[in-house]
Amino acid sequence: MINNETITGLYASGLGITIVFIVLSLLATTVYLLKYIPLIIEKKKIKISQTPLPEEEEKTLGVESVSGKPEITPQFPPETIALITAAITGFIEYKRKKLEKYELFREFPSMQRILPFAGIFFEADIKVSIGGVDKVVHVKETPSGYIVRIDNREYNVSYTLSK
Amino acid sequence: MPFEIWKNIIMIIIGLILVYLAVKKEYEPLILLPIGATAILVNIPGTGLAEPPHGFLYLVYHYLIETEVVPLLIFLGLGAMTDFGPMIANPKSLILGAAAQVGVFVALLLALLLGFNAREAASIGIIGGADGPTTIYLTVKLAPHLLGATAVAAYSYMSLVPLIQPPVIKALTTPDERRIRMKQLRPVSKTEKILFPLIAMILIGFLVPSAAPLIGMIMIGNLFRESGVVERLRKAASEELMNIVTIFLGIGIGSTMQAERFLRLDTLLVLGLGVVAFASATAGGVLFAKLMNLFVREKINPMIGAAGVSAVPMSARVVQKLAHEEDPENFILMHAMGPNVAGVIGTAVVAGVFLSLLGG
Repeated sequence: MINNETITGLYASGLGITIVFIVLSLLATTVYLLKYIPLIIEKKKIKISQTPLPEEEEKTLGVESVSGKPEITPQFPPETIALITAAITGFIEYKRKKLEKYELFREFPSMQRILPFAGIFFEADIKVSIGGVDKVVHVKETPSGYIVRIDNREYNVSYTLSK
Repeated sequence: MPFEIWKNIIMIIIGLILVYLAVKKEYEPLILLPIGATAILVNIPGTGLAEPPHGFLYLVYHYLIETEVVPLLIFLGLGAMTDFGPMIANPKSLILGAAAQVGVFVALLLALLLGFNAREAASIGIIGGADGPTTIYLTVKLAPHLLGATAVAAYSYMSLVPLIQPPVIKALTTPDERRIRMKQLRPVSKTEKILFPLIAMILIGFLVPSAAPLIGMIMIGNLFRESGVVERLRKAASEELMNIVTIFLGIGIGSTMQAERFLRLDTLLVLGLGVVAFASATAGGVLFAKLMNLFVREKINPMIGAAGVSAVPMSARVVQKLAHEEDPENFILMHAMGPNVAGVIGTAVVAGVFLSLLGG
């Protein structure tokens, strides 16, 4: 039997589903356009980095490489790159050891990717020895990579897995 | 023994069952344990704990739940814990988040057929959004007498997602569809992650102002997280504050489970309709994903549509598990997280629409 309440309910349903689709479609369109903003910023950075700089300033300029965007040659000293690489390798080993006590992660190692979505991020101080010199490097994971801190400088390291 | 005492004893048993489910089965223990324990306490005759104006449980309910303070603070904490990255990387997942809201409307229409009025039906339907705080937020405004039943249904079924969703997903998809592999998601920059909560808050705030409290809180929390400059606030919102408000939420909901309010036919109907809402939301997401596959160049695994029911991250895990069963090397967890978090936004928008149409 159709009464006023039923009509109100039907009206709320019809309008509700229409509005939720319209609002989320608009949001999806905006989010889609959002990805171009960092590209625009990146282009400006490239233009700046192409401008000749005095020799001393050029040494301090570092631009991180982000996949899917124009490739930029990193300006980091080779020792820094070696430290970052060694520290991340050590961090991966540290994380594997921490998780190996859980059967789930032993059976399905790739399931550890779910942890950042549960708000669980690993971080550790990794002691790296290169050429007999010890250095403590702090590594913290993020959903898309790592933040590596050497002395007081932080480096964002991101990666993409290709099939 | 008077009949009323028997009702109290039944409610104490229900409270004990909830405590058992929380402790032994670990079904949403953070919320079901305080709800169950408080349900036991509030049904001990003569304590006056839930009686106005000075009963402690009455004060918790009146000042923290009825005023909507706690559900909104929970949303702030959720925002600080949520990574919208997978959704930003694949904006199509927002549409899947909208599609899964179909369950809300199916349950609403069924509730109307069963004789509930429109405001009650909307409060029951929103259970299909699988979002506890939104269910509480809406029910307090539209049908406060159903709060105990809708909250218990929402939180119980969220923990039963691994049982409710797989049969629905399997019935609506073929093994070939479940084996579809999806391309790796692109990395999302920090700029995008910071801009997203601001844009979402402004856009949804203007389009559906009544959804602004929920959306606003989750986006402010998310901004704490993504800005990277207020680590203390992010930590406070996602840990200390979240823990405190979860305690008050559990106690507040438990206090509404008094025998005379809970032991009614309506409660059983709400619990039954809650299952229907969850199952139809899952079906809506999967079927819409299949529909999208008719038009998109790169096929999507239709199972990720099921994750649009929110229940973060439980339903995304269920989808990953099913994908793993069909193809051990298929990883669609990240793709499922997109509709999963989009579902939270979708449910909040639906709640806003209900509030503006049915009166707050």
